[in-house]
Amino acid sequence: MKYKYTTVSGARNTDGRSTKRPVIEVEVSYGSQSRKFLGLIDSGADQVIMPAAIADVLGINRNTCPKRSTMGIDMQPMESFTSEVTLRLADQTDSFKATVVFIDTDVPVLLGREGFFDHYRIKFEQDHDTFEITPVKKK
Amino acid sequence: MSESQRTPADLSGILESSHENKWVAIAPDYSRVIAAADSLRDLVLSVTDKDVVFHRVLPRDVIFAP
Repeated sequence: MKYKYTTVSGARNTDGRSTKRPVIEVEVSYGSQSRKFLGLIDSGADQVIMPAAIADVLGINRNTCPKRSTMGIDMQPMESFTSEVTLRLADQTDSFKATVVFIDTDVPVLLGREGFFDHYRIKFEQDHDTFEITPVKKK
Repeated sequence: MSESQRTPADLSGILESSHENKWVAIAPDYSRVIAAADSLRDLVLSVTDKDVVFHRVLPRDVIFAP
């Protein structure tokens, strides 16, 4: 399935063109709770990263979750916690379980390598404003 | 290869400067912003439609490098 890059409101590249990002709608479920978010496909992220507010909304008790340290571009380690959730992408038939790293910032949903890229083959075609997502066949 | 019709190809028509640094709830067809709030929890409590799409709006005058 092909998806279009999304034009982000008002943001500009250094050359003045509108900034477009590989964004996709993703449904995040935990137990009986489910919400939809826009997620940024981020091959530079080791894991799937979400703001802890999403865990709170889904009813995930952070006190019972494994703790990890996470570092971003500011190179400052910050405490995070992990939990398994179910993800389903727009216009993809199958849902899948992924371990998500939750951090206490309002970072957008980042769809990183472990938990996302190992479920899908991603082909970026920025010159055509599209990216292609194909489920990986399970061995 | 088919192309998704659910991907929001352009959010610039519905996201305004007043939405920057806020969480927004977007209609399932991406036609409008239904509500906005400083926190996701407050926004979820104010929206009853389970099919809305939540999104954190970044400021437009920054380069985003996650």
